[in-house]
Amino acid sequence: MTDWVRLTLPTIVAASIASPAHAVIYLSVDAAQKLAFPAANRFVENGGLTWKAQAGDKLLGLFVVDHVIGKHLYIDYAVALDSTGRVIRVDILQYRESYGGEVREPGWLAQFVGKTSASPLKVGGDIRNISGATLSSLHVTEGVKRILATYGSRAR
Amino acid sequence: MEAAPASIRRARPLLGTFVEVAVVGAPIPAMETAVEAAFAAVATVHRLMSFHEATSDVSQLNCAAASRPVQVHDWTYQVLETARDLYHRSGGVFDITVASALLHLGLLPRESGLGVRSDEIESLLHRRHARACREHPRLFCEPSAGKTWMAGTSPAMTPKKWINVTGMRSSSAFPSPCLWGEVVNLCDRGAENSSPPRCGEGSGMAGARGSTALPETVGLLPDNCVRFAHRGVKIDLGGIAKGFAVDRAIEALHCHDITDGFVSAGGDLAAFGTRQHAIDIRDPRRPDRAMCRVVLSNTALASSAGQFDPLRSDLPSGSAVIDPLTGRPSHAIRGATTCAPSCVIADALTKVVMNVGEAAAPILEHHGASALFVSAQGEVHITTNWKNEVHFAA
Repeated sequence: MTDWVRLTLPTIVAASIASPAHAVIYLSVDAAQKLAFPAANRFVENGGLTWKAQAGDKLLGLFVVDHVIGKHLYIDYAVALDSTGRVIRVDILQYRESYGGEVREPGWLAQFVGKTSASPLKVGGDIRNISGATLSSLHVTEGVKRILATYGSRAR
Repeated sequence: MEAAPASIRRARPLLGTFVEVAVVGAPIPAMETAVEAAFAAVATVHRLMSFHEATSDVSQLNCAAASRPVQVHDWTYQVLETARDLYHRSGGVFDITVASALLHLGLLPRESGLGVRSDEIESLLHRRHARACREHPRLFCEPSAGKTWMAGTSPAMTPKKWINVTGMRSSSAFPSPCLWGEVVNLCDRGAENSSPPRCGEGSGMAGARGSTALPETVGLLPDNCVRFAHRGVKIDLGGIAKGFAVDRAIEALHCHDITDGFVSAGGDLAAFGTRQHAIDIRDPRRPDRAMCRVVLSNTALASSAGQFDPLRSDLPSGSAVIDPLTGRPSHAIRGATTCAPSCVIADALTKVVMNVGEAAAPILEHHGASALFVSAQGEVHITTNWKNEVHFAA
């Protein structure tokens, strides 16, 4: 039978701790360009953070990089438009959440209590993730719409 | 020295949140292809099950399934079957037909014209009530305190079993129209023990696959066809589709011979392979802070809490989890996290735990799941089978 235990965590200060910056670099601009337009052999700067993807002289589409910037949130993302002005793909290039300045990982980890030796708290590994209240991606979706409105006709 | 195995990690905005796929240990081109297939699976789930997109299966069902059977994609049908099972196992707590309440709370858009008129709701509720009292004298079901109706099989039932239908007038903040589905269900459960059920107006559908002859609000017919029992039924798969999408993405990685992978859809996640993954669980009261860390491998994990948009505020906004027995957002529990063999089950079980807390023990056990939740008083409740895996802040 599933039983429960209770832990009383009376105040937020005692119960939780500032996270270190949650930052992931997923893709460089170069790598994202190549993934979006594998047939392209050059990317011609087109002003701002936009590039024309070309195979020789043939225009394959447009590659646009944009940002979402908030007090604690920074997202770099790239939108690839094909030569008809449609979105081919949207990639997050970099995601960064940061609160209360930089908190160094080892010191932050030390604040956790390892319960048993049978389940040692693993430090390291290249994957660190967060679960909890779901983050909305609405701002990126809105950004993609703006890019489509601005550049959709220029891609042709 | 042996080089670290190659890995790739990608993220895209899908399902209204950020979906991340990470794989390791295969040649880069093979991993790129596999990740692409995983995102394609998530995008398919998004396309099929979005409440917001007019062409999705969910929108097609909400528009037409009350008047005719609507055929849906295999995956949509699978989710509906899982949802039906969870509905029964949770005693109605996990309910995909809460869409009407979400509409009224402004958490889902109205422009698709799916809103149910409050006079329709009121009229249906009155008919249900009249029928219930006529057919099931054992049922305690009466209007009380103006807009509040109470229903149960006897006045001695526990409060959770009562149906508290509040604010049936359009002026109310919480019209909670979805609840007559619950009223019907409770009436029919009453019928199980007394006379054979008679199909009243608008509820003439027998469950096509189940052994039960009871009418179902969402009827699952052969050939992936779905029919709703009446016009007011609106479904929203937001409480289960993200987890299902994660499972499909994991399946896509398996199909591409990836042996070590990780998929997260806004914190609903699953991992397979030999690596362990450290997951920080946000404090539902302050999502910018971490409450605990859990290490997982070869399992799935999901969380529910208030919505959080770090672009706008450090604090969570209102809960999107609706208590189907009250039609109101769940407030007694601030956030819940569950660990289960599949992400679709983990995702759905967070909603059950959010609504009933410790009373979720039997359904957690049935699914081999673990859970923790934070009460409004700041107490953390955690299942004993998980307490050694979760590390809290000192």
